[in-house]
Amino acid sequence: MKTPDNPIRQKRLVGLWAFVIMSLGAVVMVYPYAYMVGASLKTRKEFATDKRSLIPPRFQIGERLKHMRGEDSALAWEGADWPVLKNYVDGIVYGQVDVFLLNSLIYAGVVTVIQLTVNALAAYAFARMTFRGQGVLFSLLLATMMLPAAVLLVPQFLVVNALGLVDSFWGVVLPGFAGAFGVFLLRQFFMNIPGELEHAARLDGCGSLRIFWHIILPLSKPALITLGLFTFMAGWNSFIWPLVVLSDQAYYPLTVGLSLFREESGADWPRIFAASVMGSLPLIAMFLLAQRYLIGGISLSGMKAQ
Amino acid sequence: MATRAGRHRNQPIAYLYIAPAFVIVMVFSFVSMGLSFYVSLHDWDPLRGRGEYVGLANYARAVAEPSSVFWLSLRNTTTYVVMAVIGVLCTSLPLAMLCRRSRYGQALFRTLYFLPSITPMVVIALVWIWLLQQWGGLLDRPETALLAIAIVGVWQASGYNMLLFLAGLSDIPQDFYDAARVDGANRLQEFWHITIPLLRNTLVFVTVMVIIGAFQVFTQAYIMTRGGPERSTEVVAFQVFKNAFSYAGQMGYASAMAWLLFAVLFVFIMIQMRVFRSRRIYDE
Amino acid sequence: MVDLLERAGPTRGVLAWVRRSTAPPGPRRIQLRVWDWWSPSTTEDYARYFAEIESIFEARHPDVDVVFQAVPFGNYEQKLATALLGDNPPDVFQCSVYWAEGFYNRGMLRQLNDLIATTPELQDDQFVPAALHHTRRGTHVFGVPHILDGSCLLWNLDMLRTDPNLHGVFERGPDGALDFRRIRFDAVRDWAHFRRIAKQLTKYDPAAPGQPLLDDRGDVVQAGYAVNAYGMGAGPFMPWASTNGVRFQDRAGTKALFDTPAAAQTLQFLIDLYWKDRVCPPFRRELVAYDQFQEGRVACVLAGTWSGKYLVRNTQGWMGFGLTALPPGPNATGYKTMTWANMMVISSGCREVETAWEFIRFLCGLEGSLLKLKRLEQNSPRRDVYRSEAWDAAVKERPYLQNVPRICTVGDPLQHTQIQAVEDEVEPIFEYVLLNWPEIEVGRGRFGSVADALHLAAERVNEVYDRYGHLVRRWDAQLGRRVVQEED
Repeated sequence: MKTPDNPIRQKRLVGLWAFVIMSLGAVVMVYPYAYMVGASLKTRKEFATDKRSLIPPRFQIGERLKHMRGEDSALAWEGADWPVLKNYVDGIVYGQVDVFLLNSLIYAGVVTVIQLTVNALAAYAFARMTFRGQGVLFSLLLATMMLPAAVLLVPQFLVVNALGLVDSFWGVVLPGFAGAFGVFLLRQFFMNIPGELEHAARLDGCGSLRIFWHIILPLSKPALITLGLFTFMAGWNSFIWPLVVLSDQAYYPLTVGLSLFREESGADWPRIFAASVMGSLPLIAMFLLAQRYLIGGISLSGMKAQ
Repeated sequence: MATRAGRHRNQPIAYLYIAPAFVIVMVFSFVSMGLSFYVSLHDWDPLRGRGEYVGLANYARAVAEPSSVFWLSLRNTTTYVVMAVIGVLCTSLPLAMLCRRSRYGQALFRTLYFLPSITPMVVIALVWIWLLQQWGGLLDRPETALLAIAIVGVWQASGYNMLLFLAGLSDIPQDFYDAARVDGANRLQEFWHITIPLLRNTLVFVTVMVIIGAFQVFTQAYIMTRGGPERSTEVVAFQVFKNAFSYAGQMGYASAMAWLLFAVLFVFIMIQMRVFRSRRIYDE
Repeated sequence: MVDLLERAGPTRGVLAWVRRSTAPPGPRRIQLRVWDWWSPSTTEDYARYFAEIESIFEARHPDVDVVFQAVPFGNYEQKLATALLGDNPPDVFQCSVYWAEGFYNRGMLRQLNDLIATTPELQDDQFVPAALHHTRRGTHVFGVPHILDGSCLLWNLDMLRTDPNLHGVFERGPDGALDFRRIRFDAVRDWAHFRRIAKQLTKYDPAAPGQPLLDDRGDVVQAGYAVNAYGMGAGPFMPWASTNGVRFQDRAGTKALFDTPAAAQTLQFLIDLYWKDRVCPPFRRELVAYDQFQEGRVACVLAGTWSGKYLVRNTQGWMGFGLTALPPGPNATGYKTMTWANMMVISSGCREVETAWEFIRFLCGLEGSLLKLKRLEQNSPRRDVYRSEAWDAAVKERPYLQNVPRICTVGDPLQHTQIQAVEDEVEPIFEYVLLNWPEIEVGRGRFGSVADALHLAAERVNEVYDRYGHLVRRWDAQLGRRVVQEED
């Protein structure tokens, strides 16, 4: 004998429990970030002594109270009176973090712009034009998606070496100038655009390129933005390829710069974390601003098969 | 359904459109693989160029030699993959189901859980070195080091995969659940007989993607453990890296290992290609 | 902003091109690219040292622009290879003995015989013999000794002082009074004596007999000696093994020579220090022995003759410390350690050989060596440095330097062939043995005994040597090199 409001109350209870568990999980997700930020504000001595706490000792209430009572406290340690953001400033002044960030931006930006252009052109041709060998060429392109990145690492190096581009700007970005995945996605999208618009434009005498520029591209904005965002993020986070192909530190992106800091003897961990924060913020900001594209884009990329 | 703009004459200008993408993709995929196969048949030092032709000796060395680190690294990598798959499935799917039912903050959770997926793995690895040290020193012991880096990998991937499951779950029409409820099914039966089968595509997709990604694990080994302690986190990608770029004259051997890795991954990639083309299950 | 664009690689070229096309061409400046693993981020002393080198050299050679890049030690080989492939190699760089011969074999270094022949101050007679071992292969010379280093024991003299029974280790001044700032070179008579000292300096837990006392964070309060298990490869093992008459490899790098009972005895000695005598802090990956020494928790660690300056800087000079060679083992022939001289080399891709050589003359001559002494407390491979007033003044100010020349002289030359690949084989085995000794002792370990582990390690190392030797012979043939290998 179920009373009418029982299912509703049960649902609400389940909803609350789900919320609680998800919140706990969210703490697990966010804790490392909090740790990173906290550690980036610690001084070297503070980090060496106290690796656990989220809040740097000199800001902790307990330590402040001890200091006021005149006891030995963290505020007496070396560096307690330094500016709060010293690690960030030092990272830029001594560690060239600004160079690394600029490089990451340049590599990710260049790769994104060029990849979008190149992929879109190819996708348009595959979607809208007929030409001999179309099917074979497209299958060939798709087939390259079978080659995972780790397998391609040494081969790509061999090619870049043969082209004489090792340890250079072009060596870093060239392999990223096109991607079969992008072509595939954009082709799907273009095929969904109704043909009438194009038909009408052709009757008006427009050539392919003008149609592409004035009709197809504007209509594809969401797909292009999504793909562009993903490409940019992948470019920003890329690590192994620049690690392998670069040796001149002036060309390092932030990821490789961080590994450089890590391997130095006398690694200054708080400074490393400050650089990490600076390296993560841009993408997080980008993500927050463009959430719907990114989260929506996952369904786009994931699952919708024709 | 796609509509072609009429079936008209061959447009040779199309070749110009596809040329840049095609050339670049081909060069850095098939052509490069071909070059690497050629290299794998020789002793090769990048500075000294082509060495002696050794035929399949590099492959033999990887596969057959008793001291071969390749098998060890393949074993480690496979263990890592298994842990990653189990970890992702056991976190992302329940999380997705919970997220859907959560009374408040679903959008906020989607954002928070996704953060690790957009953070560079290098950053994540650096932070987790210290977190792991606090929580049991898992990186220090050879028995637990691989598990430790698997935890880091799962932590990073769970948000992204949770979103994939969310999309998959939202594709299941509510009618099925309602019908089952009328028939008297309880939650567990609902899960087992409705959710899982209808989620099949997503499940396979996620599993295969995690497998392919996990086989290529590198950054955690490079940043956190350098293959130690006692080679317990020596993974294939790291072995390839060391042999190609740190040791003298072993680029042929590294290329051979990369080809062997490809052979192993080929199976899973074929599965993924099938999934891409599979139809929705309840249309069948 | 413009400064940023100038420093970042991708924009540097663009900016230079813009400048060149808009401004009249100025005097052509030669760029001298110099690499080192000494990094300003390790200590500001390096920053000051490099700044001074740069300003002096550029003042003398106004058309030269010296550009430094610090590359971490662990990646040096890979980064150098990449730079050579990319045709932007450094012109001059400091080269560790670990890599020098390997680089030369691969054709990455320029042979220096012709340049040395015309430069009297850099010829063999100017240097301590121990420094010349690694700078050549047969008669082919590819390096000029730059710094002389050796492994040594680093002692916390303040701790030793607290125990009156141990005062015999200290030097006596001319008036016969104990000088607590200086430790005698022969302070430790042998391994047994070392063990006794370590035990006396370890604070044991009264509640857990035989266990070192731990504080509430799990760190040791005071330990006699710190053994690093993580990263215990040939590097930390060989100094002790050399005191027991063990050698790692033959001169040419074709055979492993450490598969001997004396080596097993050495490894056992280290194992016992940790597991039986319990004079060591617990093994933990990120807790490096040296850091614990610096925090004042350990009385003695294995360090190097270069460690002094870091210690002075990091402890702001308050810690009294000293260096000694390692004590003789049962099979010994006296005090021993491992020594080596890192060298300055010219890369084979260098386009400004004359300028590069001038730079090396400056750095490795008397003036550069005295500069290193002044800025970095770095002892030199040059004989004339030890005859100079600057050296006497340095010893007076930093008493620990006194034993350094003798430490470097008694040492055996460090093993050097394909050290990266060799360490990758040896390290996991030694790590395993150290971490799992209790299992091995009761017969449950992967090895039946320490000797078995060494045997396996030697087998693996010989494989590396075989593979490498094969490659080297081909490269010699390819480059038309005839090398007459000297035996020793």
